[in-house]
Amino acid sequence: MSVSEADYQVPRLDFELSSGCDHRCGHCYNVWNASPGDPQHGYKPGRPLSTSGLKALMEKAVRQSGANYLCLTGGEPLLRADALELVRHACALVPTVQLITNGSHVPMETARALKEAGLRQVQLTLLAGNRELHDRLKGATCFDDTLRAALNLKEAGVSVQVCFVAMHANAGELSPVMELCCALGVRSLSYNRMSPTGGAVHEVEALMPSVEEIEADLEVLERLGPRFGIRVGTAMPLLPCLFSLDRYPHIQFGFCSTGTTSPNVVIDPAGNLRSCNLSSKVMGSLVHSDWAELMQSPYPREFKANIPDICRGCAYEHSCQGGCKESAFAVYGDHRHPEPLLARSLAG
Amino acid sequence: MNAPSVLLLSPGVIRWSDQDFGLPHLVAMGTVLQKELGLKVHILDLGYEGSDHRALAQTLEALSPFLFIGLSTYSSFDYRRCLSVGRFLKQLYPDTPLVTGGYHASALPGDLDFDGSPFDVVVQGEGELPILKVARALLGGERPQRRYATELIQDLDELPLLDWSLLDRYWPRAHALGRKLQITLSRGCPYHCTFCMERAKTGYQWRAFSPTRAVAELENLARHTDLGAWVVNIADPLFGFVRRWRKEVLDGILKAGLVPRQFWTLTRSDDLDEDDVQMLAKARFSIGIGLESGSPAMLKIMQKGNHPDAYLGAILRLAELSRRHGLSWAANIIVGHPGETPETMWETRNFLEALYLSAPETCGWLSVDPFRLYPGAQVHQQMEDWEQRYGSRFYHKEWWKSWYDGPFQAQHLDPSRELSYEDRVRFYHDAYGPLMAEVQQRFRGQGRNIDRVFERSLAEQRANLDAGQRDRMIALGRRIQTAGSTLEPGRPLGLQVRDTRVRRREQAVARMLENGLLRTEGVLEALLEVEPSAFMPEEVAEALLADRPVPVPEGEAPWGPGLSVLVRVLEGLALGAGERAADLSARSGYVAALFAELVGPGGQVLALAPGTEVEDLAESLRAWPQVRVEGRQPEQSWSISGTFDGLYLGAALPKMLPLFRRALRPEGRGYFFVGPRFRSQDLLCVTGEGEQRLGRFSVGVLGGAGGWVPARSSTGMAPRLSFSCWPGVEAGFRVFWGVDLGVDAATQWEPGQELPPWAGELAAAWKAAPGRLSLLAEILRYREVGSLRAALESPPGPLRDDAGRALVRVFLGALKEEGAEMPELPGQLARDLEQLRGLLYRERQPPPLRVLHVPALGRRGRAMQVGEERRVAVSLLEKREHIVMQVLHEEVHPLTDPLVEGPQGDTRKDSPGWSLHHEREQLAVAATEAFLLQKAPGWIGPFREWVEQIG
Repeated sequence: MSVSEADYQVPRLDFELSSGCDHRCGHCYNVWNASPGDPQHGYKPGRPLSTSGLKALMEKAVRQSGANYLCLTGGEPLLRADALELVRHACALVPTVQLITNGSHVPMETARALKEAGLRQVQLTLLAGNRELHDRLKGATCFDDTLRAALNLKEAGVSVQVCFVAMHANAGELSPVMELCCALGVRSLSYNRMSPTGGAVHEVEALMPSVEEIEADLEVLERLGPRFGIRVGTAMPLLPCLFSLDRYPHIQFGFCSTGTTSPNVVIDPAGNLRSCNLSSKVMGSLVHSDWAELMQSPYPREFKANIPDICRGCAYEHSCQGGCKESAFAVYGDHRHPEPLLARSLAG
Repeated sequence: MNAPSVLLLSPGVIRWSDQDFGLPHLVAMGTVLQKELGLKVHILDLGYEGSDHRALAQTLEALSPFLFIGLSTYSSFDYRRCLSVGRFLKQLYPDTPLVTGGYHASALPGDLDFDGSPFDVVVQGEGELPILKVARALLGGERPQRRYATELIQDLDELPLLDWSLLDRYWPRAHALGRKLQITLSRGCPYHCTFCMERAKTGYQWRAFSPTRAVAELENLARHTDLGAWVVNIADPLFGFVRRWRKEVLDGILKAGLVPRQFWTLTRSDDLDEDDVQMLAKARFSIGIGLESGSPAMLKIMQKGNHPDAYLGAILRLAELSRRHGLSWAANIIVGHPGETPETMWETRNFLEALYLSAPETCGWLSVDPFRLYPGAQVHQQMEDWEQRYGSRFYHKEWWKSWYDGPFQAQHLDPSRELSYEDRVRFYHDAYGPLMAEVQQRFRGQGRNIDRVFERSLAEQRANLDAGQRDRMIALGRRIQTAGSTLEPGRPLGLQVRDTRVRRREQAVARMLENGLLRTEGVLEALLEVEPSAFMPEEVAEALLADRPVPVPEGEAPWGPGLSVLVRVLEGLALGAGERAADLSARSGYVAALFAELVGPGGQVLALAPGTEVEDLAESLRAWPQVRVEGRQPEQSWSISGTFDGLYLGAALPKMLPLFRRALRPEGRGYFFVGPRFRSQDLLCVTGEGEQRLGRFSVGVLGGAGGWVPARSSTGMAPRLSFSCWPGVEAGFRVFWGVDLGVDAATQWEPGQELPPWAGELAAAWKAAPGRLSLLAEILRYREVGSLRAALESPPGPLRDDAGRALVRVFLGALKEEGAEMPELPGQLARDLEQLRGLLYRERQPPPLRVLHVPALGRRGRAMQVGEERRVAVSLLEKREHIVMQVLHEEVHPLTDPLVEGPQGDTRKDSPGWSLHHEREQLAVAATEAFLLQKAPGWIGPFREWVEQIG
């Protein structure tokens, strides 16, 4: 069968540079943290590629996928000794590169180096407006580091985006975080309600936010976003059957992109390709196969079609597709099960 | 023209289950007016009448003209109703002076005497003397005074003997109207109890008929009714304050042989000696004691006397004496009087335990009430003092001005700094529930059927003390009332209309007034006028009015939101006369009927019926010719012809459809629910100027095009099997009950039935009319008696000849507004029918079947097709197996009837129609038997039994 690369062009690629991380977030979605017995257990990121191997893979990926936006993530990418070299390489390949880091490894010199490398944006995570709660949720002493990282990056001239993961444990903390963002000069916020995959499936009862808590956050975003000049987007899907998205014109809502023309394909440290960073399904190795060949995997197509019965016939069946189905698989072992946020809401 | 008479009106008591018959206060005034001035007097009690405002107006018209009308604002609970009724009376008789009096009028005359009040005269205190003055003034051509201050009659013997014939209108059904018969033999109470409003009307002066006259009054009453059939309530504020008087009255009663089932009266225990107890028991008295508290501290606060220990000792003595002599008694307790604390509540509770449970049995029963704030009582008049002294907090200082929840608001207070409302409620229920159960077990009674009265009273008390009631009262307390509406209805609310549906509507409207949602007269009128159960199942209508919308399976058209949301929409739409409005998802037609009321005869209403129920909907809306019903297949794209002043869709959309905006006229208003499928949605008001979100409410989602999910089932909304009880159908077939139509398949006659008066005429008309079967088909078509009557005013084609019209005339003459009540149905009945229909229709979906409960059909069945719906009328009082077989038989008919060709015009024996009918019957029976033998052999036994029964 002839495979045309043009049929599988994507705008964006995520590289997981490292599976290791020095924070212990309860909500962490990394699929390699799944425990024995968990539906996602068994995924292994494999031996990380060498610097040259990873650089070569980046080149191949960009060339074959047509991506012009790279997101470097982890684990914690800055734990790699060659991290700055890889950032520089990525920046040389595409116009836009974003780095997602836990904020503990961005001293001033790193910030300047990232700027010099040509990095466009760094995403830091702030889970609360106070040190105690943030550090507790992160499982590390890192609140001050994160603020320092934001200030360093701003001073170095690198744009900062703050990621807020909405959980039951930090309900009500969005306002202080927004105020902090304003003070730090942050102009972009990614609001992500917890989507439990990986080891986070064991924290659902303790951490999963309720629909009402998320709704309260959305009100905050709609109120404070324009006032503080902070753009707001969501990466984790918010289901229109639970939320009246029309009420929040300031927020850019995103749905699951798997199976669409703009998927959030992720490549792990060993070069394995997955449909998104919450998925434990390996579609193949980009080291050994070509992009177009891997993209013929039936997985994204089947995943897209595999929606919960309750969503069939719904007005948003084809756009929402049932929310975050990878979290449905991670928690219930079935993509067709209503995902945790929906299931918990329906159960009252 | 008649000479002007005097009309004395009682608003009736609110409680329906335990009301007295008698109205002695009105009888006393009526008697005085008759005897002193020779005036004709009419007494009406709105509770006894039970009619709506139209019927009441007719009744009054027949009695008019009036010299004046007196309306008793007897209790503060009646205040709003009396004001409403007063306005109605003033509208009817603007030139007739309207007089009011009673406890509330005595306590707060300003509540009734104000600018814009419908009342011309307000009487404080006892009514006889002022009412004479009013009448004399009017007869003399003078204007009566605006107010008459309290004027006590010192010698009650000066009053004429009560003329009980003034209640002749009600005596024939007196036992149905009241459990007890009420009379008073004395007035006033010298005690200064802080919670009591008696002082407002009669001061502190105790006066009584002389003993001889008191007995004469009872003898007089006994001449009007058999006292032996009554519990006679001597409703004196304090019976027998003077001991000698009491002894003489009791002696007189015994000597006169006045023996009711029981006398009941309120008295005190602290001056009853053993002779008194013995005498009371002998005279068949039961006595109520206003004990009020078992805490000496509270008794002092309540001003129950200066010697609380002696007072409490007296009731302990009474408990013992009563056991010895068989005197039943009850103690009333007030929980949560201002000043009450948790300690005093426990003190009382422990005292009562000793009072009732220290012996193996008791002759006393217990009545526990929360403290209620009554206008005129000392507590009410000195609320600020109570607040300062005890930290009491009164949440509703003028609760009687509220439209709703008066009984709750009257008791909604924190008794003291130490005791909150919630704690009082918890104590009341948790501490007294178990005690009440124990008292009930130990209650000895008298070994007569009168014991049932006591037991019922105790059982009611227990029911009031259950946990559900407790939680409800706590929840009510947490809901802080907002300011109510200032709207005054143009028609009277609270006429005690007998029809429960009318009362339910009134209650719902009162709630909407109370919460301030109902703001315009038109909406109020429409809500009172249109009965929702005419458009939807009874339980759905009840839930809608109670603001508990009934969910439907997703994809079905919802019944719509609860009343409070609907009222918001109606008020927002502000439909005016002559406007065009549309209900875009008219499942029931109720909203369309409300719209029709609002736009009036000159307006237009479009009801878009989802699915296939167009015909039904049109029939339901027949009374509103301005309504046009159009069917709409839910899966088809929306199409709305024309533009509208008001648009409404009572189901949630995922997104607003531009088409709806386009269907609005420039000044038009649209109300839509837009938002999540599984959570509350925004109520969106759409106008030419944009959209406004008016709050979030939960409604069912729209199915089909533009909706959240696909529409449920291609047959639209009709469930495959439903059971209904339609008054029109029952009333129609009841006309034929006991009418011997001869040997005719349509007959319902059975030997031994009592013939109705119209039997002969109807049978003759039936036999003479060739199109007679059309009448039966018409009966099955209409839900309401009124609709059937209206339909037959223009009879269907086969009945338009002279004989047909004659038949219709006789039929309509016999048709009564009477329906049946749906019995409780075993779940197995529906399962049996589902199973057999499933087998009968095999791969096909069975058509919707509506089983109509018609007791008048006895063992017979009637059926017809209406649109896609199959209607089978049977009596659901028959055995389940019989019902199943009858319905199955009627279901087989449409499958087998086409095999026997020919028109069916006549069903009389020996006519061609008879043989045709006979042949079709035989075929259906044979086919049913074959079907059961093959598919459901377990049913063959019941089938053969059914065949035997129907012959």
